[in-house]
Amino acid sequence: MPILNVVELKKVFRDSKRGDVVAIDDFNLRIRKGEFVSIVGRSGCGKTTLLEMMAGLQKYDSGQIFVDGNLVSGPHQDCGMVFQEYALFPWLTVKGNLEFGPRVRGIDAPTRRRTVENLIRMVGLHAFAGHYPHEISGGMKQLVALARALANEPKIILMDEPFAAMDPQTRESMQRELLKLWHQTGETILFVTHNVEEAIFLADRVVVMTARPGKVKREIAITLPRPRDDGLRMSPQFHELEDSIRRMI
Amino acid sequence: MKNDNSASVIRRIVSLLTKRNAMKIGSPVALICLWEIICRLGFVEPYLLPAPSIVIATLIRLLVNGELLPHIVASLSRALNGFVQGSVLGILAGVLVARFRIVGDMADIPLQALRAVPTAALVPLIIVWFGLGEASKILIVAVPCFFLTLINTMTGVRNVDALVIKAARLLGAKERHILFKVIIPSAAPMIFAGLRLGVTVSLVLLIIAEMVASDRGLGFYILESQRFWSVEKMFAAIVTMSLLGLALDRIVLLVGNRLLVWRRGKTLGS
Repeated sequence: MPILNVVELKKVFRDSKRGDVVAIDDFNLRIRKGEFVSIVGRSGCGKTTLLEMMAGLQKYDSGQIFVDGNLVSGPHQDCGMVFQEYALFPWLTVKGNLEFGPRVRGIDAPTRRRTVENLIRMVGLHAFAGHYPHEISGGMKQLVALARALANEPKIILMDEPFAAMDPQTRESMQRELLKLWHQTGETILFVTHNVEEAIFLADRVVVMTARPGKVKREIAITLPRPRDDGLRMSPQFHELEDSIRRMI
Repeated sequence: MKNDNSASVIRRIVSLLTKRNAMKIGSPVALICLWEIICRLGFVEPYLLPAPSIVIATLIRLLVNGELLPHIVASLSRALNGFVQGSVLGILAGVLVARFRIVGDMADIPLQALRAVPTAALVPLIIVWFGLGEASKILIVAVPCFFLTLINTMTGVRNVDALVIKAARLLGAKERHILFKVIIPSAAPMIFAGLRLGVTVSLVLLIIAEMVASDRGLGFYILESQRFWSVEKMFAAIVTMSLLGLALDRIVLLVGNRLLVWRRGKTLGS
């Protein structure tokens, strides 16, 4: 059974003045447990809408979304989400941010503490546990956001262009860090980006989306060997993939 | 160990001796000296403008002989009572108005209209309704505190980052968590800015109320001293007022900066 199963999903934005816009139409996607899938597509093709529907933050007009076999009908904790703008709680320390999910879900204090300490160590931020978000770099903030999502032990992590605002060096090191965490945790990740290179480098499978209505145009299996390092970006195989996907968008 | 401590204390004292601090302290000291000199040289009649040294001497005398004490106690208790009650209600109302659209819509026009009325205009009415006792004075302080914290809380709550609320909801936060763990902390800087405004404005209103209808309090004392043409007593009471206002403002600021430590570098100001 797939962890995420999206069946014939349709979303229409109603607008009485300018006419309705079909944002997503006949969208199908299955993701297996432990898989890393990237979605690429032009901005405005409904990627964010798609993720928000999976997380239960937006309603859809027809079709179904199942997360671990459960039909999504409202906000739920099986999807962890990471946003481009971090969306950290500025009044909580790094540790406090990580603890937020388990705390509101009523997890007992010792378990909570163990989870949070493990995660802080895993993302390498133990020296910054007591820092506030404005005191750490953008890359660190995104690691905190990722760890905060992981603290809830979600079935799948949805990432909405999480590295889009970063400089190329930070971006590449964040990609390596993300792959390392993915290997360590065995999480399932759905990663939305408009950067083709990033999509290929990270994923087992790249889903190319068309815009208006947003639909799956093509799915490309990425069979490049793992673990992946930066040298891979230079390989002819990588460039070939990059070229062919770029042409599809 | 002890040497280390004393060394660090000395370092801290030395670090305070900056040019900016010298300016900050130097300018009021210079102003007071100038005032003293003008009075000593006899440029103004002492019954119109007493020298600072006389004001300070008078203040100390009034404090020692207990003449001022009941008035300070009366004013302070009214200010604190009104401030706390008005602010607490203002914060509650601000959250309600900002979070519930029905409440917000119903309150919109009345709020705009009431905001435009200076509370001073309500003083005679409040006295007619609530009499000459403590209740009316506390209410006169509470009303501006209520409106200032209400408006600021409302603005703060409405400006909470929608994405942060979204993130909280995805992490499993229920409505009460969203309110107490996201909205209130996020709006706290605005709420504290409202509280600080409240302190200042409420003292103004309190003095007016005490001058209009009271037999105690610093406002009454200033008016009473005027009747006896005792300018140095008026000054002593004014200085006391200023110190009280300063102290209350510092307390709010201190509590605020302590609670808002996460905004280090962006404190409420000084």
